[in-house]
Amino acid sequence: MVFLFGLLVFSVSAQTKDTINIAVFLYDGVELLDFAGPAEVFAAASYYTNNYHFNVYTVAKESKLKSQGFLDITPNYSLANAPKTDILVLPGGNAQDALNDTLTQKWIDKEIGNSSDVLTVCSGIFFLQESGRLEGIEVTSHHKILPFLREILKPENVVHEVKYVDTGKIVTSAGVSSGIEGAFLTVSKIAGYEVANRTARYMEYPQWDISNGKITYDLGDKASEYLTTTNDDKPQFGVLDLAGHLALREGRPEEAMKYFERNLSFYPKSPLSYYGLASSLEKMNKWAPPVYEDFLNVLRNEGAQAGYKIYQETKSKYPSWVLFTLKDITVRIENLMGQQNYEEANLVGQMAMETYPDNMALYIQRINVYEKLKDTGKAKIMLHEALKKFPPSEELIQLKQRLD
Amino acid sequence: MKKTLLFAITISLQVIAHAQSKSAIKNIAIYLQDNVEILDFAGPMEVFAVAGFNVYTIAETKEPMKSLNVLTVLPDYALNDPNIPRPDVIAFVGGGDLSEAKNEKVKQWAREMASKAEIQFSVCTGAFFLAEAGLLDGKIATTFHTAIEPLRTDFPKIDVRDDVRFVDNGNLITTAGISAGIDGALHLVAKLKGTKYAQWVATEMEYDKWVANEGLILDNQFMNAIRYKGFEAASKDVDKYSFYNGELLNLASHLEEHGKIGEAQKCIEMAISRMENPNLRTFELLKNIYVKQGKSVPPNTDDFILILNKQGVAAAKQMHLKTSQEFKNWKYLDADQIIRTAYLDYYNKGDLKTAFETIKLLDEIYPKDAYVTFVLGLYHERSNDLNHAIELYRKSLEMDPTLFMAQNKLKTLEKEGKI
Repeated sequence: MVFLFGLLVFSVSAQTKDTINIAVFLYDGVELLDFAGPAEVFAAASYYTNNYHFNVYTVAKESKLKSQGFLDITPNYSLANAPKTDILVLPGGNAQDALNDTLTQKWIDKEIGNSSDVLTVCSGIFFLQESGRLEGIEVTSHHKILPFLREILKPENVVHEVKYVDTGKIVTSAGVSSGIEGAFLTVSKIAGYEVANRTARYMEYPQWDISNGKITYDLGDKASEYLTTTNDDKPQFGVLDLAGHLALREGRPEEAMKYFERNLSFYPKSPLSYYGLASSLEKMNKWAPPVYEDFLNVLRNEGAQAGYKIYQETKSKYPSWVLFTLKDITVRIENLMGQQNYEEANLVGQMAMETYPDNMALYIQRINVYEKLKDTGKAKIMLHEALKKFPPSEELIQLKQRLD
Repeated sequence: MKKTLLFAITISLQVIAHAQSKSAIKNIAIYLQDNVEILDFAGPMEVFAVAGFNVYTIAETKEPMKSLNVLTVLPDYALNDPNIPRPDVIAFVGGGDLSEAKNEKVKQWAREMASKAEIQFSVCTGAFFLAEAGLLDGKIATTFHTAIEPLRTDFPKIDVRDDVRFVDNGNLITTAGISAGIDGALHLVAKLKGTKYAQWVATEMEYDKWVANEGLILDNQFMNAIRYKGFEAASKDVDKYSFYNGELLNLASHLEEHGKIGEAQKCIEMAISRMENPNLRTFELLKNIYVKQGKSVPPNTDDFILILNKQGVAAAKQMHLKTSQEFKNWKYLDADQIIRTAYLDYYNKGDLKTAFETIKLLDEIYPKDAYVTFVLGLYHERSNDLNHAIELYRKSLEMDPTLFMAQNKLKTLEKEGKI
């Protein structure tokens, strides 16, 4: 049963991605879905982004705890040895003890300071109250908690009938299952809109839509800071990407293209940026190459020749356009070889190498294909190039011995 | 302020279990394979817990296990533990190491559990556990979107559907991927306890995506018999059929919509008679029928709270005495709501006397309500009557062993050396 969770095809090993530490804070009495929802979203989203590895772990004061009175959990870290947090998840539940605990509150305060994003779910919002972090911001929580929040906060700051309220760093989600949507939003802000969408589709979550919640600031403002060429600080992928998709939704494809193109300069060869660009072109009634798995599907369903035609058209219209990730195309070549379809493997290999000229694995793959095609001459030429280009690895030396 | 506030939150979220009675289906066992997908089990578990079922986990061994490489879970029982409570529902969930489904020991166990349990339930690729054990042969089923074809190919005896959120074969429910487990679990609650009740569970969880009946549900023969032969004729052979109270209640709503008020009433009354401790929402269905028939009905919770506020506890008590004589064994008051609004209101205003009288009255009305008993205990603890408080906490736990707020309280008092 190798087929399952085919999403792994998109994954890139953790080393090539920026690691984002996601601390899911737990305590005795924590509501199960409050933390399980976001944990699932972040862990799954990791497979859909080439840029980030979401390192999800649980932290608690207790060395063993019971969620909601029935699920026993061992946290991955204690308050003392937990890594530095990038995203802090504060779930709701029966939190009296945790809220009254000074050590816990201290840790939470410290990690809020370390974090770029804080996500509360349901009554988890009260972890922020203690340190006065709810002052002056709009928030939401479980529908039964909202009346109480109106008593302690400015009533106009308590937002009803939304899945979450995003104030920039602090995102408060409504009750229990709403944490799932708060997490989708957070994923889209960091890793991009399409990563959140794909994660939702993978999870078969119905109707995730960014407008299910309220965003209290203008995402475009933050993104436009990066549009000027002088600003070379690399933003998180989602900043420009999300602004682009929102511009697209609001019918401004020209503006959207600017965001996507700029993002491409920060994240070269990112299939997600191409996805945004293609969507913008389509909105402007211009031809756009198939992107992401759409191009792979052409290769798979219509054959390498059909793919090659699109590849050439793309090259003539948009010379710098990248149609596929290295990982995906490598897998495609492997699959074709498995099917003993060496002619197509060769053609796909040619496209792959033109796009990714500096990858040794591709050279080795193509040499293998030439061998299978019994074209030892070409195999030798390719090996010769590889030996000039890369330091002699064991694999290359073995190939050389075999071909000689 | 903070204490009261948290107290209120606790009321609203933690102790929902008390609102639901015991029914024939009580124990829900969830099998966890290594690296199981988090939401696959957490979603349905949350639903079942809110709906008042007793949920527990079983794995190959009792060793700590990982879920989606993230969450370390300690299963309640190992596969071969002789103390596993007999499950009424056995659930398999998806993701992770599906080779366990092919393991002979697991297969054998799945068959054994499935024969003990009245209902088999799977989420996502958990369907492969049921399939490998041969439990899906000749049935209609569904699974995770990328696993549809493999399930079809590997098990030609299963009618695998790719366009449904769940399939309900009567005693066997399979759902689509991950989040669909939440919908499937809510459907099971609707089947056992009625759609109105399941809708309440969804609201508590703030899961607004659930649409009742949005799946493939095979007809229940008894419901069909009522529909086509009429209640009287159908119920003569009632013992021949297998069905659940929720199905009766849902049929009643359907009949009511089509103007068959009398038939609907009989269905609801039958459901109530079969329930050990029928809940408020079931009586509300009956109340709607009475209203349509022009009969008098018990007051609702808002009326009761109004009298409490305007005329005092004694008048409210009087009202209850009168109502309970006219409507014997009816449940017409939402204790939860009265505590949340009236009791807390008095308490917040510092009117402790009325707060106490209110919770005392509730205790008289619902002497077996674990939650009311618990709140009474809280009151005593705050009035420094610790012995009485502890006694009430213990009593509430006897009524509902899953009332973990009471567990927590007792544990804290123990830690503080007060017990």
